[in-house]
Amino acid sequence: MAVVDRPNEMSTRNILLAEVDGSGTKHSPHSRRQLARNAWISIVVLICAVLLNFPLIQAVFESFRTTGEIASGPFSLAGGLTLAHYAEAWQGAGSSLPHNMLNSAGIALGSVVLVLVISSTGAYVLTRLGLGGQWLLRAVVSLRLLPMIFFTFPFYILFGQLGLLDTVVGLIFANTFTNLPIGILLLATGIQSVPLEVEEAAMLDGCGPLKRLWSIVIPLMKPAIVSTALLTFMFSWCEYLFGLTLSVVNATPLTVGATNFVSGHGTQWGALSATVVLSVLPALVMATILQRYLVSGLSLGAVKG
Amino acid sequence: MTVAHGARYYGRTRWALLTPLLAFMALLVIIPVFYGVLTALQHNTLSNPVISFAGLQNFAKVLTDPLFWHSVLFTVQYTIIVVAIEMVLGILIALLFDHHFLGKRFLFSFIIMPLTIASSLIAVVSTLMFDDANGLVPALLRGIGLNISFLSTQRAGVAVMLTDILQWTPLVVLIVYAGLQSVPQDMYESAELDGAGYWQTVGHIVLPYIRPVLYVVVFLRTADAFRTFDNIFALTGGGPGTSTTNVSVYIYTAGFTNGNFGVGAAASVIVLILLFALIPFATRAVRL
Repeated sequence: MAVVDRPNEMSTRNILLAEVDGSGTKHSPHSRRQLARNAWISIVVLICAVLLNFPLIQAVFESFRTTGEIASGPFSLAGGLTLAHYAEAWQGAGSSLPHNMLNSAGIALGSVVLVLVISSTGAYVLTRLGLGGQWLLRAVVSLRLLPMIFFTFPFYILFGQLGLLDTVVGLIFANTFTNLPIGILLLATGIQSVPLEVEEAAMLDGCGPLKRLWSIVIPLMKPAIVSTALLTFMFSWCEYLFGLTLSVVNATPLTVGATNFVSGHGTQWGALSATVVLSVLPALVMATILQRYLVSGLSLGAVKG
Repeated sequence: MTVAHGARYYGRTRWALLTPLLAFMALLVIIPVFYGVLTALQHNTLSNPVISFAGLQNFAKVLTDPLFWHSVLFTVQYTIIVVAIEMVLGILIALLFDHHFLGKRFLFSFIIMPLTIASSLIAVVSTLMFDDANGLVPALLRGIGLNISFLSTQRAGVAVMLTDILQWTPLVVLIVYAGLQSVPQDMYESAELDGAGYWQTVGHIVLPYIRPVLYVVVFLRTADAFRTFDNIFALTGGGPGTSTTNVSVYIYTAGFTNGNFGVGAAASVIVLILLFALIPFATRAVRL
């Protein structure tokens, strides 16, 4: 039996497989009166949420204020709102935002494909075909506890030898490396949730392992696949350290491009804020739409680590 | 009969299926670990292309560098402070979410939003947020009579810790809230029958019940805070001076800014060994 299915882990696993989207309720059946009585909770939680999101709120606020207002004080809104900073961030002289965004998209999508291919086949062999098993599964999963900074020097040297420095392909490799542990973990758990009987029936019908994986197991574990894809996309989109050390100009991702903007343009707060807002949006929107998978992936990934 | 049992008929197929994982691990884990340790034992600088064997000289250089020990101290302080604050805040907010209230679904989405934003971008905006002239935070604090310069040498440590707390408290909320969903309803009911108040129930029954989950969150946050790089480097670059240089920034500066790969790699090997001190916690955490 593989590591992810040990009985003493079942309780925690079940805890976190339960759907968590903030709609759960377990105290007495809710009524309007109870909602009114708990109004203070709404207010306190709202204040916490605003405080935790303060950097983003400041960026959105600043990105719509005119340069004149920004100069006249942190709160001034007298001059109305403007979209000029967005135009400047996107197509202003020397703006590399579209180029960086394209790089980030390429890196994130490439990593999603590579992580899904490697971890679905790998997890299937490790959990169902009895090869490598526990030892390899544990080795891969524990990789994510290593400090990534250790790998910057060897990657720099290795990628230099392979001609992958400052290329999108190189950064796809680096991000696949970063996200493989969580991919293996989530997909191994997903495969465990597919009943063995289904596969055995297919096997008696003469289905080989590759066909069973592709046409039976994968369709039955769509939630695990979506979680893995979403987390890999999000983490690759947000990745900074490898982008900083393994790219120069051609493959620079958004995260590095935006920080260069600060040093390169002094205190053009408006354009800087617009750059950050545009950089944040794709991953933010995707994660909000697929929130269910984000939450289950993060909590399951945390507990199985 | 199990699928695994039948697998012997597909010996070659299963090796083929395992090939991508094994090839990737060999190329991007085994070779790099070898290179990393090798580099630590070499004179390897960006300015001098001739690489020669250095023995343990790089390690000696790092271990006798006061800045390295300063960075270790800052890393430990940073880790203890941010993890403690994130746990307390995160547990309190998760307990609030365990009630029924208006706008719960929306507020949950709102509160976990920082998790989807790159740490480096949060740090970039924080340079604005903490800016003496334009930032909302100093302006609001001036409003209540506090005049604090966040990006000064004395306060920069607080600023980088704040960015960490703002971003990662939501992760604690998310995981602890998921754990709270597993506490059986009758536990609350019997505690109420015994005359226990809310905080007694939480302290003596609910939190002990979800202790495994709390353990995992503390472990994860500790490991991540210890090796954090993005938020510090993008906000202060380790400065002003060296006031916010943690071990990751120290390694980056030694290797990439100063161009001495040998010293950087040696420092990263030392940090790896220091992190192994966390392994006893790790094994307990996964056993649950």
